[in-house]
Amino acid sequence: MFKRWRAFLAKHQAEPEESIAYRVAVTVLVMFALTLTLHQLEWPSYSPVVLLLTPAASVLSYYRRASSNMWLKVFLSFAMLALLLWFFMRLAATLYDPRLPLAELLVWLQTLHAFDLPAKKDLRYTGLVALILMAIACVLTYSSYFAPLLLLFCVLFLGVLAVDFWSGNRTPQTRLQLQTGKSESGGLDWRWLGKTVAGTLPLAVLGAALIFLFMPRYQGLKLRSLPVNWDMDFSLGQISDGQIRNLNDLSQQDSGGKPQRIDGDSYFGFDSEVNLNARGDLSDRVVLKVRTSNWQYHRAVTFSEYTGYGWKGIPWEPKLKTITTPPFRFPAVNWRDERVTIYYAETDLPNIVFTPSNPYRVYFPSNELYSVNSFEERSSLYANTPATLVAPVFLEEGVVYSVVNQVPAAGSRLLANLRPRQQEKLKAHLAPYLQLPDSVTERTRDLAQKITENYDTDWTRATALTTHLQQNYTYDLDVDFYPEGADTTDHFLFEAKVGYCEQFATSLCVMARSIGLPARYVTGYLPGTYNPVSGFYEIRASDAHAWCEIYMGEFGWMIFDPVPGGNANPEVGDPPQDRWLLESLLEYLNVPPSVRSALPNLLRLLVVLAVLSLILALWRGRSRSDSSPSSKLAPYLRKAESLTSSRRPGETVKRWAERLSEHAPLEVVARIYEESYYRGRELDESQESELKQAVERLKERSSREDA
Amino acid sequence: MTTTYKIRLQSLKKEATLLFLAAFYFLIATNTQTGWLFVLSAFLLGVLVISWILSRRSIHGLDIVAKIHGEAQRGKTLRVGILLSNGSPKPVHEPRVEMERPEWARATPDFQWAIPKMPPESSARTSYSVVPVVRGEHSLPPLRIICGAPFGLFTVVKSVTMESTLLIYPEIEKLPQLKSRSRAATALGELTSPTGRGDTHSLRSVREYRPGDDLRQVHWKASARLGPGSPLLVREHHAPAPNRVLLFLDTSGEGAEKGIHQPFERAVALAASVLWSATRDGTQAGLALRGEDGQWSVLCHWPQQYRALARIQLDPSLSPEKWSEEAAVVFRTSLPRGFQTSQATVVKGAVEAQAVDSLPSWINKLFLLQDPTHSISVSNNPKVVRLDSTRQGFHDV
Repeated sequence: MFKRWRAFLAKHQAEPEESIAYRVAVTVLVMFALTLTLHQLEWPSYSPVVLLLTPAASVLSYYRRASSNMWLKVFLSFAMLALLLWFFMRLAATLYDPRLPLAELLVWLQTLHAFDLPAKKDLRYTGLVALILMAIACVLTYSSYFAPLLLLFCVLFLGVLAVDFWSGNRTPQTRLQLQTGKSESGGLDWRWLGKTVAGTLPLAVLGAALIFLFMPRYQGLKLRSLPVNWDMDFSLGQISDGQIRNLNDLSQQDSGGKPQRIDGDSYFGFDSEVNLNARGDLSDRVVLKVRTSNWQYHRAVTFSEYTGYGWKGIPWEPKLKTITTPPFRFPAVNWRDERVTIYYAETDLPNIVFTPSNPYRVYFPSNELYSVNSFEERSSLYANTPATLVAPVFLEEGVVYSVVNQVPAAGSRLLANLRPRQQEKLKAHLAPYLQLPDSVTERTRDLAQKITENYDTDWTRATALTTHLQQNYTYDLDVDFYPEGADTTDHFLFEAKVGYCEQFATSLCVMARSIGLPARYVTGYLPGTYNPVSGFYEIRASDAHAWCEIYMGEFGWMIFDPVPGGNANPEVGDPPQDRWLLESLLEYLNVPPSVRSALPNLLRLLVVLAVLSLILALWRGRSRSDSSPSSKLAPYLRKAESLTSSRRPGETVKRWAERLSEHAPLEVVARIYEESYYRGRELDESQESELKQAVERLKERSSREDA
Repeated sequence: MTTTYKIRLQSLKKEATLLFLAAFYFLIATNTQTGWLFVLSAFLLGVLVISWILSRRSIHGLDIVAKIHGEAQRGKTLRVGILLSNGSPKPVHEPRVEMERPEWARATPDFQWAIPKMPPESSARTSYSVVPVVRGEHSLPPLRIICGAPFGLFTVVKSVTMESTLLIYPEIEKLPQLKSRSRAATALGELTSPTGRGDTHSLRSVREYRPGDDLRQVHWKASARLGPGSPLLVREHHAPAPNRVLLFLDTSGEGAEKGIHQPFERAVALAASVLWSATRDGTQAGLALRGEDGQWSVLCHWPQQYRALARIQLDPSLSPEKWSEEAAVVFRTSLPRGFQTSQATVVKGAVEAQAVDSLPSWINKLFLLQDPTHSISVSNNPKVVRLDSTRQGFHDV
């Protein structure tokens, strides 16, 4: 059997690749891709083995390129089967994130494959694997430093392509013309390689940039890859048993609404209490990177108790959830649309798990998580979704976690006609969200009543309040401290009429509660800025935000953002979505919206101009080819050549006619050619007739000679 | 020359793989929202686009000419000289010239020639040797200048077709010498040896040596008799008595298998060799042939005979009986005045399905080229000289 197999291998053995330069180029490329992938895998323990085995195996396969390597193939086959088994075991353990076992499988497959690279096609497969490994590194990375590494990979890739082309002209069947007088042995011309890569790289990058900018952008993230750095070693250890801990120790308990100045990265809303009289500027430092296909708000802390000068959290105790493998599961609201959001902490953050609305699967790198639920007790009448999720540890820089949430598949028309059916039954549960202190003034209640008197459903009344705030009050981050003891809502609505998100959200919550709509105050982050190159929404400290959530019966808690210029209902309707990456890039570069809005028309104009240029170029080319003297002369010249003798390379028409002096009519052809071609004149009728006569005479002579 | 340009994919796998990867990465990037994958996908597309654009210009200015050196004779190596020139002011890197093996030539590898660099206004030469195996009028396959610079993903092919044709003549072999004493040698010797040539009895006179005279004709004895310092004397003979050779080439191919018919090829070679030998020796030689159109011609001059032998083909629709009838008519009525003889010689490549029975009286000799391993019905007639068609030279079966 082995004999037959050996014969089979010998019969199907491809021609060995002799070029060392090509082998070196491919090995360098794949080593680079392997190193980057291993780096993204956070240097697993087998990394040195892979990095040492790959070049060694490449050298071995060069020396054994002409052998059938039967036993090596047998060994590699069994090793690959074992590897596949290991992969499936790893995959079963981390089904929620198949990228890591897949990357590891590919790393090992490439290492094994490096042992058997006899032919060119094998080396090409290696180049292909390098491209795939690079793609995996692209998926795994979330760092900006990846740009120069990707550029370096592109340089190496172009080099490999050029050497592949070069080696294609050096097969055993090809006769190689070496330049005389040079001590050239057919080896790789490094100067040519350098020039080729240096000359084509800018063009390729420019072409890639243009293609990239006009790549369409679709709602994606359908692939369920839910990364979580489960093995992360939290250096600070457990710091909470359900209480929110702010890294900067901004605890404002019992602040009493006293004026307070807070600056830096840490938002004062990420705590157990919010002082509405706190002022300060947050930095523009990127604190979170979020991978999601949707423009969405990121919730942090929910507050239910309004004190007149601030907010306090939900009164009931957080509940501990313990798991052995991800995810943490929470009640689903049974909406059809699900979304995946992946969070990457770029700096140390409080022990709050940021999530989109209605999270029901959380893949967080901890065995424990504290959940402050929306309602005190579980009931079959409602989905007791988590209002605040508290981690037992700080969210250190480098923490990666994923959240699957549900979004209402409802348009504003459906919501406008919504008549909550179970409101009465839930009254006891919703009571904390209707609470108002005595500080809330009558004129506040009257204003809310007046705004909503013409509306009869919860949705329309809540929307009316939101719109009123958006249209009649001014947003300003630089607001004076409110007087101590004053009710924040009253002072904002009737005195200051200027404020920022805290005052707007508080006012909406208070007014909603005053007309019987269950409302709560939520802090978190705005969606951030989409970076089209890295694919992340970059959330800065200054993106911290506060908004109001109002209970909408079967649709649960829905976001209402009363800040002027904002999206009042970010969960309803289609989220803002750029159609081209160019739009995203312009937005990222802070290009004014007026310019961005002109982009579609600009694109249309460019397309029209391109089509017109093409038509013009074609028309000019055609008219030139039709009217140029050479095009009219060419048929006569060809005919004369066929009747006499072809011109030699580089021979002018005049010299040709002189050489064939026995053919007198050629003198006429040469004279007219010079008159028209070199002087740029078009052929006139008399010249054409002369040419025809000359050709006729040549024909006659030719036929006489044949006879 | 006809020149055509076209861009083609070098190896569909490479470009298709890159295009597939670019599309696949775009899909994955969309579904994972990975920005760097969008970049990688765009880069691959950019490389493809740039390769396509640059490859279009890669052989601008290159031109090629092919010239055939030597006589195009069946079985004799023919050298095709190839001149590649770059008339553009820019160098061209890694162009390649390819030509498929001509169908009419022996199985040599396809021609592949790579030039690392063609400087501006430069040229490079090479040659390609082929051994023609099929007589007749042929042309060289198109020469293709191929360049895929810079990455070999897309290649531009400039195809240059030589319009002039090439006539492959039958091989001419030395006829067996009389001293070999074979039947074939005797028969051929009788056919081609003119009377008088080299016969000292035909000496007419001697004269002084003139430059260009054949040194073998120097009469050393007579020169020696004149003493030192005297001019050399050379012999002058009587003109040889005129002898005539009239060959009929049998082209009846009824029942022959398709493809090259080796016995017929050897018959053509024998006819060419006999006619050439006769012409060289000053013997009048005539060749009677039946053309493809059924018209007979009797050719009396060597160039015409050689050209006709280069083109003649076995006629599969012609039976030996019909050929014999027509040949007899030609022999009786259409011979030129100088060839009107009582008998003629026939050369035939044996066709297995045909039988060679009694010969008509006007045939003096029949040279039958046959494969000894094949059984052919041949009458035991002393006029029939059977020659081995599987060997070089002309030998008895």
